[in-house]
Amino acid sequence: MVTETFLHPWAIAAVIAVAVAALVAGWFARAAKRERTSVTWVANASYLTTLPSFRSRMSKYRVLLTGLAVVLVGAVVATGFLAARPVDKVTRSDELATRDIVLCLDVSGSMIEYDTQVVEKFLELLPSFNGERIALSIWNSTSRTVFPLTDDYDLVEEELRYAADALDFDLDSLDDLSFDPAAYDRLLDFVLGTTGLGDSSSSLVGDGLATCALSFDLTDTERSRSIILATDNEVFGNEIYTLPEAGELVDERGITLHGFYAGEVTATSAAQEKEYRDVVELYGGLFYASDDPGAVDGIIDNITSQQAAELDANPEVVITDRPEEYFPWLMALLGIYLLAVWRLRT
Amino acid sequence: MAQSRSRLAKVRARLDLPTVRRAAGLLEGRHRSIYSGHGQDFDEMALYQFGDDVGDIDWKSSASSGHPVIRRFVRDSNVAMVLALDTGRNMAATAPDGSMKSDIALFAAEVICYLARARGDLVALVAGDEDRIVQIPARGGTEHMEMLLRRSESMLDLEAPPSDLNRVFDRILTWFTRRSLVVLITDEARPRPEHELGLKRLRTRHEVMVIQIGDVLPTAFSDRVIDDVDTHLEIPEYLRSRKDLSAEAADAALRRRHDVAAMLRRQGVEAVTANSEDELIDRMFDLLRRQRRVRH
Repeated sequence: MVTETFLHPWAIAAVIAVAVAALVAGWFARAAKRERTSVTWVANASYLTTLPSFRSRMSKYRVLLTGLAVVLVGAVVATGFLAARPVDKVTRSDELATRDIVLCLDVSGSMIEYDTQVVEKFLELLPSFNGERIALSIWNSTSRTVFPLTDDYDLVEEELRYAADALDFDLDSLDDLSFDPAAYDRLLDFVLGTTGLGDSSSSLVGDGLATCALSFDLTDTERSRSIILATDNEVFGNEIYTLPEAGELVDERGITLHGFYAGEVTATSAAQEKEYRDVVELYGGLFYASDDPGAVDGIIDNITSQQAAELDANPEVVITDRPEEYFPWLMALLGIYLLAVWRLRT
Repeated sequence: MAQSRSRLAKVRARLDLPTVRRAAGLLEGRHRSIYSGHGQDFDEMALYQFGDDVGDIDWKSSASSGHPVIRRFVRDSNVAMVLALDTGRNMAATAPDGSMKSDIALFAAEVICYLARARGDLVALVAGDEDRIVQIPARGGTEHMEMLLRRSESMLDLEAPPSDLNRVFDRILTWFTRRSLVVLITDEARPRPEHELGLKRLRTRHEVMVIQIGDVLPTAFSDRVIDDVDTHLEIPEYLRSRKDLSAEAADAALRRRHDVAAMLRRQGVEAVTANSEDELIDRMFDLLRRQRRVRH
């Protein structure tokens, strides 16, 4: 996670306070100096201030002074920000970076909304990834690997963005024909190949999960492997793997399964949820059930922190100084200040 | 005198002998012209000049000569001069040559006293400003003049109150009933319009001569902090040494001088403006000469 922050935020206030103190001191010093410097006394010179050229020059002088004050305040603020040490804080852990995560998403009609949330959450997490590999596999009656495990984050971002875009479709709009045909085409295009085995079967969760389990590679290296499965476990048709079998396969391969359930309440939904929960919890995964797509965000945070705890990841904070945002400002303002002072003095 | 630095001796050192003689002669002529008029002894017939009393015109002589002619009489009374000194703090400011205006003003007073003493005339002093008024009656002699000058000197400084010429005029009008030569020493901005009435009244009873000490232009200093003695003046560095401002200030100052000169002319008062001590001597003699030409 990259956070832009200030290492010493109090320095802003301190610098401003010092500047104000210097201003006050300067004011008194000036008054004292004025007292000491010998004034040349003239008489009958009050007409000077009524002369047009004096007035115009005076107003110009005031404008310059005001500009100078603004520039000075700006320079002080920039100095304050610089003194506060603007840094990028990156919390990074090498253990977490060994994670391989397969997003295993059921793209049957009822789950599309939840899939969107999962994809968007991972889009959000993506900038903090440093070595983690991620894959996206979608399935209905058959599976399609959108992209395999990779740390090519440019590709991942592109694909996730496209997936989020395509999945962001309101299926209810199909009923009243108010949908956007282009968006519908995009969705159909995205889920293409996941409904290959005839119309009768859908949501073959065991097969989908098994496919995801087989998508891990580098089996001889020590990596943390996990699947984030989102499904309603509403199976129609004949599966090669049942869900418990697939769960066993997953466990055999040393993969942790985290489950997310979001089914409608039907006559069989409780049994489906229970089967799903049992499989996930049997192998020590985290199981969540929610009918609120907004809950996905927190769930994935939970999974991440759970992984961090399991991996005994000591997050390492890497601090990078980022003065480049304020430094040019300070330089430019100081330059303007010097120019203006030179202009005022001559 | 026990004091080694006698003011009159100082003036003496500055004026060369021919100048002194000439000046004394000029002052003499001037006095005659002042005091000629309504005495008992007939002096001479003279052509009417602007400024002469119309009542003095001798109509018979005018008719025979074809020009207006007046009869002059010599006054047999003692001659007195009144040194009217503006002691406002404006007089302690800077003169155009960088010296103090008070030095030039004092020098003018010294020259007047010196010439008066040389002739044995009496000199009185009325020095004043908004708060103070000092009056020393007319007397002659070196001691008196020295005292008078020292007194004047002690009053001219920056801590003085602001100037108020009307108080000086009023005091002269109240205390000097005999026709005298009033020599007013002030600066180039005065007498102001508000002094015109006082000056006019003074003029009805006395002969008035004004010595104006020049003021330095406020734009003349590019590297120094300046301030006005009467109204605080804050001139930032940015505005110093600006040519257009300088020119405009010089213009304004000149216009003010012209205004004052026009007012003085209106009241029939001769005046000179001096920017330095050296200029002062020349100007004063010019003034005396000019006056003489008019009168004789």
